[in-house]
Amino acid sequence: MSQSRRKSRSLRRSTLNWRGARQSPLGLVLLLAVLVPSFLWLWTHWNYLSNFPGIISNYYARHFCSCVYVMQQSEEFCHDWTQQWIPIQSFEHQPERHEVVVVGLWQKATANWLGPETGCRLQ
Amino acid sequence: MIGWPRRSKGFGQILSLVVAAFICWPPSGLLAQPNELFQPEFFEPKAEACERSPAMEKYEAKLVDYLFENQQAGPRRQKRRSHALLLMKGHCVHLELYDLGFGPDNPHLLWSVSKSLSNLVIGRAVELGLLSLSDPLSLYFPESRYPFLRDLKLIHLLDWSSGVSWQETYEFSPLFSDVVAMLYTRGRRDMSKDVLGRKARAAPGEAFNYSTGDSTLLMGVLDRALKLSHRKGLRPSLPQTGRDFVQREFFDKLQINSAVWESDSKDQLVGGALAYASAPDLAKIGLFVLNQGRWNGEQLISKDWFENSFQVVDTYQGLGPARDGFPGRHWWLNRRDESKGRQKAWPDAPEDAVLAQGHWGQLLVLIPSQSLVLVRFGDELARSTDKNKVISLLSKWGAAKH
Repeated sequence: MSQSRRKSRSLRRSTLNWRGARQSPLGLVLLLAVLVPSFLWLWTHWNYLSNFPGIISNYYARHFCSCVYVMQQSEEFCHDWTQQWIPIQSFEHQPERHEVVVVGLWQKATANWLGPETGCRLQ
Repeated sequence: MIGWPRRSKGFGQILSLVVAAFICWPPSGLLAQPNELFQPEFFEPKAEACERSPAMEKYEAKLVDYLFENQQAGPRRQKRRSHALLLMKGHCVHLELYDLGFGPDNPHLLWSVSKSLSNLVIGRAVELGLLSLSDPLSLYFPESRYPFLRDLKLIHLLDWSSGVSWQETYEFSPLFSDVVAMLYTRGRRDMSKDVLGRKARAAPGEAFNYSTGDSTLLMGVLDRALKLSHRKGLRPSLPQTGRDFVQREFFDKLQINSAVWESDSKDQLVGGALAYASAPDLAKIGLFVLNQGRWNGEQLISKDWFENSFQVVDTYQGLGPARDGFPGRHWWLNRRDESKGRQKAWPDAPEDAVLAQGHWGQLLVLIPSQSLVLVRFGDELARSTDKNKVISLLSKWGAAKH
């Protein structure tokens, strides 16, 4: 009985010592507790996550192109039509090439109008 | 546009609404010039289809007030906003209304209304003997490693019961959306491959899961079937690609000129989302459905196809009411089923109502028992329009007498 009490007291002391020496594994455990699930989550969802940044520019380029060339609307209307929650970084429409180039989330996307039956397509 | 009578477009100032045509007014105008395209098979030019009455105008005003409530230009919001409304009774167009830059000649993005068009295209291919609903996908995608390829049949795609693991979410949850990934990133170059590259969540035919992937795969099957058929030297009279097939065997047959159907890098049509058509042309497609597949003296799709398409799919469990209706074979229905305890999806709408519906408020409403067609193009965020209200107003409009 007295032995176990003594043991627990010494255990407590040692933990305190470790903390004092800034060598506690608690920080590491906590860090791992955050990192490991995050890593697992990233790993299992990588298929989706890796694609996400491209959505913004591809969506904008494709639908702006179709809005102008298929639905035959004005550029002003088509910016409203295509606007998303995440703003784009740059936009370029080259009517002579029937081409729309958009950069969003540092990803570039190009859509072209291919003809009256085919409409627009992403490169 | 062939055979589509329309008066000149007028531009109103207030609310910038455009009343483009009241072709049936006065009634004698129509009777003097019957439209040959739409008869005589099913829609004989009955005078009452074109008659006008104050009661009809009352319901038209209600529909217009509801659908054109907030016509503010600018980015898309939750508020209801319309680009077009077209009402037909029998072969007669009663109301055509456009706004915010659209007119009768502008093709409009149909989003998931495209799925119902895919149903008709596949129906045409079945009619011509190119496809059969029991065809397994292994026939057309032998290179695919999808686990249930041999059990996965065309009918499962039409029933949205392929079992392919698929997340159908849009702008509110783009991160984990398989539709968004298919259309814009991961799958944009080869959408069929993208769909068949998903995991299996269930065996084919076991679980309902609404999926743009299933619908898009239908068009991939069509394209592959035509190519296979040509390689084998069968049916040389048919076009060699899905795109040409849709153009020649569907749009051209219906004399539809405004339609555009976008595709992936392999030029396989995005059957689940990216078709465009003008409001009058979509109404024409609606009329073709009311005509049960007969057009210009030719039975393009058999009547059975429509009867089978307008049954709630077996794998669907919902009992209603349901804001989006019950899924049929790529059409949306209101059918009760006593044996399952299923009530109507839209309580105030007729039971035979059939809808094609798409994102941002695109609608094609058909009420076969009353020979009614409604086309509405919208630009609003999800679920701003109460379909129960729209369909029931349409039905009351159709029944209104003096």
